[in-house]
Amino acid sequence: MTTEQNIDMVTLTIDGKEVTVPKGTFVLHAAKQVGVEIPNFCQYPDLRPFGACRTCMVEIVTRRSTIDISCSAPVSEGMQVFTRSQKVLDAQRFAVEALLVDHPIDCPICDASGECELQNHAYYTNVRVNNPLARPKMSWEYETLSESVMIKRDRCVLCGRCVRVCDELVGATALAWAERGFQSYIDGAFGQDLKDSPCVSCGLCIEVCPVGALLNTSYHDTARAWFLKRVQTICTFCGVGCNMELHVEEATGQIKRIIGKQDSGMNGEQLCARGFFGYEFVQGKDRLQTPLVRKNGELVESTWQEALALIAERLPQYRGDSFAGIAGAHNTNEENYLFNKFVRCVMGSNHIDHDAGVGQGVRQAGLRDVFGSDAPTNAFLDIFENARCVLILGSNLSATHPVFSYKLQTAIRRKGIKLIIAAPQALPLSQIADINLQYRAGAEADLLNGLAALVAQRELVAQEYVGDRVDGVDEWIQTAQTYTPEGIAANTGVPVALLEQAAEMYATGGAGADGRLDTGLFPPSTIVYSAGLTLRDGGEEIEYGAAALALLTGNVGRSGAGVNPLKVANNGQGALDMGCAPFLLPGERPLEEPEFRRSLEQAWGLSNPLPSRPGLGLAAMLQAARAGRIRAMYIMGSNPAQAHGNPQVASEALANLEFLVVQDMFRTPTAEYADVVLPACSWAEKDGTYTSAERRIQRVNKALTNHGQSIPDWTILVHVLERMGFERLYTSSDQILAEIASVVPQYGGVDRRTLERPGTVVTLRPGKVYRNPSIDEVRRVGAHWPTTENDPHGTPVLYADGFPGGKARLIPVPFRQGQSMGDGVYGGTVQVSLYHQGTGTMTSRCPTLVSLHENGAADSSPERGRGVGMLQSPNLKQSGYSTGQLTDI
Amino acid sequence: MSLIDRFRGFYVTLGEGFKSPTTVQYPKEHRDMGHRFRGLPVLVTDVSTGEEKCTACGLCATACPNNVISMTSEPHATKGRHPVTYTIQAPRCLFCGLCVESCPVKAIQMSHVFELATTDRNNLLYDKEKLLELGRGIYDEIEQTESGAWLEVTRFPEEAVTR
Ligand code: SF4
Ligand code: SF4
Ligand code: SF4
Ligand code: SF4
Ligand code: SF4
Ligand code: FES
Repeated sequence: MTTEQNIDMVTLTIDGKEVTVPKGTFVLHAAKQVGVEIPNFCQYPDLRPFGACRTCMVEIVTRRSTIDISCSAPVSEGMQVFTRSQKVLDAQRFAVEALLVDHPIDCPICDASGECELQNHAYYTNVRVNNPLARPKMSWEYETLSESVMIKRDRCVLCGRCVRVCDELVGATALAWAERGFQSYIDGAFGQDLKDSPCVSCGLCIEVCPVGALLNTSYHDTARAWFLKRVQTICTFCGVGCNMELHVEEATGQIKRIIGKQDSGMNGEQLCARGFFGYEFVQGKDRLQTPLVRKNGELVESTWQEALALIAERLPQYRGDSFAGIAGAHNTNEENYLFNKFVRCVMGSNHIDHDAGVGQGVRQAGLRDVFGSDAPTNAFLDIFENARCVLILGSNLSATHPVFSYKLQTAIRRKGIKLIIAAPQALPLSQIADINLQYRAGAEADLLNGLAALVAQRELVAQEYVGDRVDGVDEWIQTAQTYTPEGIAANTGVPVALLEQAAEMYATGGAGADGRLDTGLFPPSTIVYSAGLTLRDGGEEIEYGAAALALLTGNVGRSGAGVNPLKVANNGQGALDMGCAPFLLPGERPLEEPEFRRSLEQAWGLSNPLPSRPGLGLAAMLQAARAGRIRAMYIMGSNPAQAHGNPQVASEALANLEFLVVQDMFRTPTAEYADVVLPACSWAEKDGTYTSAERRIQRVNKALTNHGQSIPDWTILVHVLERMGFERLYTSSDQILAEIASVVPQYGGVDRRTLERPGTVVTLRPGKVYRNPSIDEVRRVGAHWPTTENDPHGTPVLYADGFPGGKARLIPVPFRQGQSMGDGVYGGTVQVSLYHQGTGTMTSRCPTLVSLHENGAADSSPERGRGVGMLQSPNLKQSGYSTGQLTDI
Repeated sequence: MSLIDRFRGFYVTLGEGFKSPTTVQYPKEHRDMGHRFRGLPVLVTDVSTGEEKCTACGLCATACPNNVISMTSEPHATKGRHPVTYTIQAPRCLFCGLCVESCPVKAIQMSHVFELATTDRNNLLYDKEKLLELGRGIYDEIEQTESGAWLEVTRFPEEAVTR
């Protein structure tokens, strides 16, 4: 992460306190630094200053026009500012009284009451009269704009935060002001119904509304803000790993709403629809209350005693190769680690895997062959801050990793980052892309290897970098000669000119052929895609191509560069790191290397050696079960019966098992085949850690009491082990984390304390945000692995000092005429919707998400992309309030 | 002299002796409580709609120093909000009346109910239905004071009868 140097600093006095801030800072933010709060409505961190509400007035005695709005007045040397003088208070009081002229003041029935900025400002500015003009107030009824957003317009103070966040931070541009003057109100952009608009129901507008005008349909009128206990945790859906705050009503012990929080994590205040509305399943009526045991062919309610006794009696019979375990990509690291230990040591089997996305297990070949690990190389913030060109490959990130795509579009629009989108169909982000490569579905490998070949042919290769860090170049170049621009164009369906343009833009970081930096390299470019893309036959060739493209142009191990396959599930990365793959031990170490096995045997204090032959992956496991070679299975938080590409195969396999144990929150289709179903806690009911798709280890905190008799998955495993004759190993998830920190090299030094400390400042860029250094520091919580005892904050950029195996190894993919895999590679298994995650075990039990999906809200399917508003207004990039480019000041 | 003194000693007794007694034969008889007597807080029904007035704003629960009041709410067509459940844990109540003072819609009132003794402590948990039942007959009325100002006053059932 960079720190901008050589910034002019300005010293001024605010209420008698001296403060030094970078030039270009606004008075309001400078005041905040010395602890002086100034009331405001329209000012919002990370938005351009707006100057609409006039509540933030201060007196600047060193200037001629002494009263000014502090949110848009830049500081100057020697400035003297007073924020609480009589003149200021009078002016502020007038502004608030003016807002109250048409305000209903129905606080008792207003959701915002207790956290309403208008209430606060009225109190602060000593307002004593309501409606001094005594004219009738305007009144609006509640209006439901969509399944997620309601509005009560007479409470609106027209600060425009909602309109601006939706445009600048989400990129949906779904809201706008309608009419002028007194008649002015907030409505869908272009007069559109919000349901048909690009609104992605992220809830950000609701969250930033300073008053009770925009309302959350599922929270509306169900709780009071001051009765809510706030618990910080991590989202349980996708790999972005958003920090969030669960608001739990103490009296009922229920989650009432979820919000993001400024300054908490990568996502700041942003969440996506899943994060914002995806909690109703926790209180779902069909949550499992007690263990179920199969009796006379029926699953009946039972007790923990009976269920555990049955498991302890039956499982030991299947020790060895007839046993398989499926871990959960939504489970915590601690649970997956313990599960891995259970399957490998206790059950003596290497048949362990997890659903890495779209019902597929972990793939062996891919990025790991090139770099030594298949983890994404660069942290999200690093990409937003430092990348100059982004290549998005074949993934609708707006549905798979929504908040990443929202933040990326902000960075792209503000900083003029070049964007290349390669996808078979138009994506929401296509509208702001510089180059759209619309290739024939399935031709990703041809495209990427082709682009890399073009880079090599056009001599854009970073010779020195490649010489130092890359092996197998000559062989690769030889193979690359088989690629001709025409051949690539024929295979992918992308015109030659566009291919060459894209190759140049990527290789030169968007700077053009003469844009070399002093280091001899071009500005950094990065490649981003959802890891689900490569989970199919031949998927490794895509990754070889991506890696070749990045290595040849010197784009690995640098800030703002890298190859970033984003894991789909929220802890897909963690499950892999914990060794839930048939051929990997914890820490992504190959099972076949005896030394790794030995070190693990030592760490775990085993007397018998670990089984040395790699086990079967998810698909093969189910095949083996179908053929009767695997006779017992233990499935934790996974749903292969639904996720598998061919449900017939999966159900036959599961039905064919002699003994199946399933741990889940619900009676999933998989659980229907089980002999024992154990009720597990939801993410809100347990402690632990998740590792997000950017390798960030973050802490999950228990917010609710356990539902029914359910207990956390790791506790279930501890109980099972206890019944099977092992002593009680762990009494808290922290103990497991401590063991992980000592056993898994990448997680060295991680403990609860380092993860819980308040965020650390990772970037300082005063004077470098949009004429407004409101966010002059971004805080980061958690830690990016690899961490060590000495550096528990971790490593945002991998391979900065070389690759694990010394050098990266290029792997050539020969050109094959006319061999793109064509349509239908996903075999109909992927249903990419913003409102669902995986098989929908959780999301399909959230009524708001279900209705958003069923009513075809934006991004609910590739056909119902977004863009409606944007397409109608092709010049939106230049329109009045849309984000322009970042300027230096 | 001394005889007069003797009768003087009985002066009060004789004076009171022929009036009807002030003592009531509680519990056979009940006396009317003073207007401002603070008995159990109860919920008041809106006579025009027949529904509880409460909008579940939670202010009473916040004002209560003893955490006596709890509620859950849902949206409501006319009032905006509406309590689904509303509970008063009478044993903890200290009859301070802060809830009544905090209520913006006069939905809660200190009733004249004070006989809370019971053999089962669960009976001391007053839910919404019980509280509404106890609040039956309490209503607000506008009254002109002697100085001519209009004042909203609360009427209790027994006051309505005596009037
Ligand atoms: S917006 Fe604020 S001031 Fe207005 S009714 Fe709601 S809580 Fe009261
Ligand atoms: S996308 Fe929808 S929910 Fe999100 S900020 Fe825009 S209008 Fe609000
Ligand atoms: S709805 Fe809320 S955020 Fe939007 S302009 Fe009105 S007060 Fe501001
Ligand atoms: S689903 Fe993903 S993007 Fe959405 S809130 Fe959760 S972690 Fe963030
Ligand atoms: S203060 Fe009044 S309206 Fe509000 S919850 Fe209490 S009784 Fe109901
Ligand atoms: S916050 Fe300054 S004008 Fe609104």
